[in-house]
Amino acid sequence: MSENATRYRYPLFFVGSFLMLIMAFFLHFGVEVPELYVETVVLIGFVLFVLSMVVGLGSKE
Amino acid sequence: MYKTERKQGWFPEFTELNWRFWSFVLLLVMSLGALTWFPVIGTFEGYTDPFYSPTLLVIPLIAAFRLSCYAYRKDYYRHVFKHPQACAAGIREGKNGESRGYSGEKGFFALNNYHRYFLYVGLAILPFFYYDFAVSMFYQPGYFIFRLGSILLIVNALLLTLWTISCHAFRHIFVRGQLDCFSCSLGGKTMKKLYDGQSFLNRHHEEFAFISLIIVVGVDLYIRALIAGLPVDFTFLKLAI
Repeated sequence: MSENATRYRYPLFFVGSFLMLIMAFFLHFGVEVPELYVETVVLIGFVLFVLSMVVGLGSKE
Repeated sequence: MYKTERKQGWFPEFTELNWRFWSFVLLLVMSLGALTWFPVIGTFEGYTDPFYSPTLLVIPLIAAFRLSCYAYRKDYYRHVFKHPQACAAGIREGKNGESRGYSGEKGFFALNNYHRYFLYVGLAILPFFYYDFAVSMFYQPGYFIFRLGSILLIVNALLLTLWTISCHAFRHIFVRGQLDCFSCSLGGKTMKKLYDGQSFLNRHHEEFAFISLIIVVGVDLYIRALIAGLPVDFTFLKLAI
């Protein structure tokens, strides 16, 4: 993975985990959110989270 | 060109007899099997399962926080991979005496560098355990009920808090662990006291890591026992409010 790509690992991680966490909080407090919406947002969050891990493997830090 | 006899696989533990590693793999498979086999508990009589708090959606983040924790790292490097076995020990040698070199936080294990970011996630989730403790006492409208399960929930919350705030990354980020000189910076004396307090907790980080893990599983089993109808709960106090 090039260094150009690895610089995006933390933004990807933050956005991905934020999306997963915000949906988790909604569910915990019983906020009514359409199921499809929750699943889609969590899936996007998880993909970004995994992508950040993959991109991070190229880090030399 | 001279070639050595070295056979350095990417992950030699899979190809050699190492009971620690394979018992770890067995434990992992059994745990994943148990998670798949037994249905997930949400809440039961006011008790929220710690695995479900805030929801199962964040389990990958929490798992990553645990796995990248310095305490767990020490244990899986030393006792599972045996690579390296100790700080001052030489690098591990293979069956034929070949050197393996130290891979440390390189390659796949570069992901351990994310630990400080998983810490933010851990901190975001902590208040939910206290919220669940409060819910367990006020789940019946008009009543305050204090039960054995509530004590377990608060013990679980406190141990998770101790584990999180005794983290090495927490010291670096929140109590100025990155400073070289406290007296040279603004509010250095106060920060040094906080740093010393956190360092005291940090010395017990490994204990907190494992005890909190056991308690989380214990609370989950306790709630499962309640669902199964075992008489393990005890009400200490029930007040109408």
